[in-house]
Amino acid sequence: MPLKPPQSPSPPPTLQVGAEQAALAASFVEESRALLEEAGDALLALERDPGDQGAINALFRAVHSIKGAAGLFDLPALVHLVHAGEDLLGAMREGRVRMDGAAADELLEGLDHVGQWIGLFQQGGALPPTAMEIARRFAGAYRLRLEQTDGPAQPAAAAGGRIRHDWAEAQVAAIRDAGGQDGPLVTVEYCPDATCFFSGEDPLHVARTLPGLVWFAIAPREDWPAAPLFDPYVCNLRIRLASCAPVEAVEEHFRYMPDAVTIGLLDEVAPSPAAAGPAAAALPPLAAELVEAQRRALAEPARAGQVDDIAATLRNLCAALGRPVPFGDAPDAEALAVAVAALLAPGPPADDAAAVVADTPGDAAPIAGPSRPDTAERTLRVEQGRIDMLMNLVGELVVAKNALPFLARDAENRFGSRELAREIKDKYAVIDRITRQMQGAVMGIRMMPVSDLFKRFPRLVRDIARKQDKRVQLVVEGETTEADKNVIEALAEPLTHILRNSLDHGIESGAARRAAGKPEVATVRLVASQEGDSVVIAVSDDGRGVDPSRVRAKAIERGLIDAERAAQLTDEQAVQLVFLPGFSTAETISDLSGRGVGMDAVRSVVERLGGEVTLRSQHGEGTTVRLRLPLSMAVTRVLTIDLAGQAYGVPMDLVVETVRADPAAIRRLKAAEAIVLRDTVIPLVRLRAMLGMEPHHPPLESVLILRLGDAMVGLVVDDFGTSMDIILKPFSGILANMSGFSGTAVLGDGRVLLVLNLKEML
Amino acid sequence: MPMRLDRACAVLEGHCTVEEAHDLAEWLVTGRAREANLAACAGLHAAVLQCLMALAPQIVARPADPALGLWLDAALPAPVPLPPEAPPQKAARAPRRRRKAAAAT
Repeated sequence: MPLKPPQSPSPPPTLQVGAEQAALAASFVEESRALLEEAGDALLALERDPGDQGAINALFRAVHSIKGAAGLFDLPALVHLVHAGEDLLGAMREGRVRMDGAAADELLEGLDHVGQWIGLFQQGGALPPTAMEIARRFAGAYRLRLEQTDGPAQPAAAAGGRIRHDWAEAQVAAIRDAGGQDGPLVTVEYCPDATCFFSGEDPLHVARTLPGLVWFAIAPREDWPAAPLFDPYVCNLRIRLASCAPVEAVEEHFRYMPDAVTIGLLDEVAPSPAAAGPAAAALPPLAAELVEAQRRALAEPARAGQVDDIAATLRNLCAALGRPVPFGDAPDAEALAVAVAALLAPGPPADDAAAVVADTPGDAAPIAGPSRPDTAERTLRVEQGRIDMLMNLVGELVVAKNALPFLARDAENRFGSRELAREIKDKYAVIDRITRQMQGAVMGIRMMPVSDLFKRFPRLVRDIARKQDKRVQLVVEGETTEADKNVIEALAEPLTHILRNSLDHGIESGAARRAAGKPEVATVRLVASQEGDSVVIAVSDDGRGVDPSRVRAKAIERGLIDAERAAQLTDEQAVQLVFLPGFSTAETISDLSGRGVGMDAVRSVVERLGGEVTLRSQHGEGTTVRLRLPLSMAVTRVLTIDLAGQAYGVPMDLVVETVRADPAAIRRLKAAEAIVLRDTVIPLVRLRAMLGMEPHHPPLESVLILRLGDAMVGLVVDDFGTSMDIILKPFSGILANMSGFSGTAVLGDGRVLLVLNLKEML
Repeated sequence: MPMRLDRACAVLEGHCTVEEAHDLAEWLVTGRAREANLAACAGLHAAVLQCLMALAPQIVARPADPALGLWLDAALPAPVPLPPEAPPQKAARAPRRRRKAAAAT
């Protein structure tokens, strides 16, 4: 009862409280997410090396902070679970319990639940009724683990006779007064270790949360050093506490820092007559706070009608403190004011001063106000939607800008003004330059490091490895490599797939690895790097690699390729067969991968992003999958081509050259056509035929030479257009699944350009 | 952001964690006439409290949380409220005097 926070003095408008609470909740959610992530990482590190003191401290601190923050809200289940976890971690930190795989599983699972709950809390503010049950189950599991390994010699802290703290005897009156009761009190002298901040201990929090706290004093242990020498991370605090809780509860509370505390007892004393002495005359801090609140309430003219309430509060307070009530039965406001002043008069100066400060909040604010310089934060958190809008606007600007050359042409041809045309072109050059810079800037904003993507993988690898009873270490490199947010986000699924494949099919069991003379712990490397305009992500393992003969056999069995053609393939080519749709080599379908949607899904995603996948594998030695993606998908450079009067776009990076060929130079090999160009035979494909249009035979064939993977292909079109930068908009809605085209773009003259997806078509 | 360091006033908001202690200490050491505004402070790490105790910035506003306020009262010397038209020299003198007093004891 004593230190329960009083109802806030002069109740602030509820609206403000609500807003504050919401802001607090939002920061709690954000903070806890970060802490959970930290905890997850630390837990994984700890599992790898159970002796990692840094990791256990980080983990403990993270969990402890979550617990502390969660305590502010009505989340009993969450606190219960985290508290039990904290106990277990505390034991691990002291070396009483060892971390092992099973314990890590339980802890990770618990963290997952906490994460879920925080998500629910964010959405609806309340946890499901099952939460407490889950929390109890986990807490039970943690406690069991704790008990199994916990030695019985735990409470060795302060056996035998209780110490009597001299200071407690000296201030017995004040302590008793604050305690408001005569029962035995527990006194605690708590001198936290100088380095305690580094182990995640927050002495103030520990002290504040002491059960039954009735009195406290806090002071430096030694004089503070001169300001320049002051180190905020050397703890120099001495906290003295008195509690009305049982000794066991107090001991339990300080169980993590038995060396830092001495726990004493303040026996029952006959209420000393000192109660009337000068020390006791002062109100206990809490009571002073309450009286102060009444004083402020009285001063407010709007509360003139509530004099009775104030009188009742004061009367109760005096009764609780065992003091005479300093006013009559039906006091008026004036009499009350006198009584309040009398109550406050001998109070500690702190309260008076505080009262003045609180009394003049208008003064406090302006002091801080004008002196606040424009130190805007260095970083800005912006909703992605806004950036996307900016990006779209820049895109529109690019399109609008592209209309200017058309206008210049019109000025010259239709209106016969060369001069105007030239001027428009000049202005166009300026706008073009600015637009490019703007585009670059907006794209820069959208760049994010791949670490945001990679951070989920250590957990994934760990979970899969444990499920399969394999030992795997994941090495991540190049996390700072940046790429467009869309690229990063789109890569999550393919990379997960590749990693799963690697762990499921690539990495052998421990026994097989030993037999093959490999280290038992397999290594999976996840490496990102930037190469020119693209980002390259490589996943390599040192597993068994892909067996070309098995791939061939499987491909034939599935009818993906005929035996004759399979036999012709080199081993390297055979390995690429895994990219064919419907290919899966796993003998048994596991719940991880091998559902028949494998590498082809990866390839289609990556190609949709304008990238490419390559797979290199050495049988018996490992596999490397390389994803190569454009840094940004925002602007695509295309070559326009003309086909039956309609413009189409071909991604510029595929185009090798454009050729005008005499139809006579085209060789026919049965149904197929080919052209010999600089001693190379290049197969030809007619785009009209592919799109089901009427054949067209101009005197000179326009052939677009393209490079697709390692092969060259000649694409016969009607005519070539120009090259231009476009903002490619993928199809949406019912057109989303249309094959053959990767999207559309609006041209400067308002026409729509269809961009061909040649990788898919050819 | 639990802590904002303005030119003359450190504004502590929400829960000030151990990380804030370093910045706060640095900021308090590099200049005098510093003030701390704890009105919106909901929790303090002991390391932050230490900074307030050792470097004694002027507390211009107590935390709204009364429980936390009691702890601050116990740890810190009484806050000196500024008169409305506070001459800046006065603010500068107060912490210095306090530090000298601590050294004398």
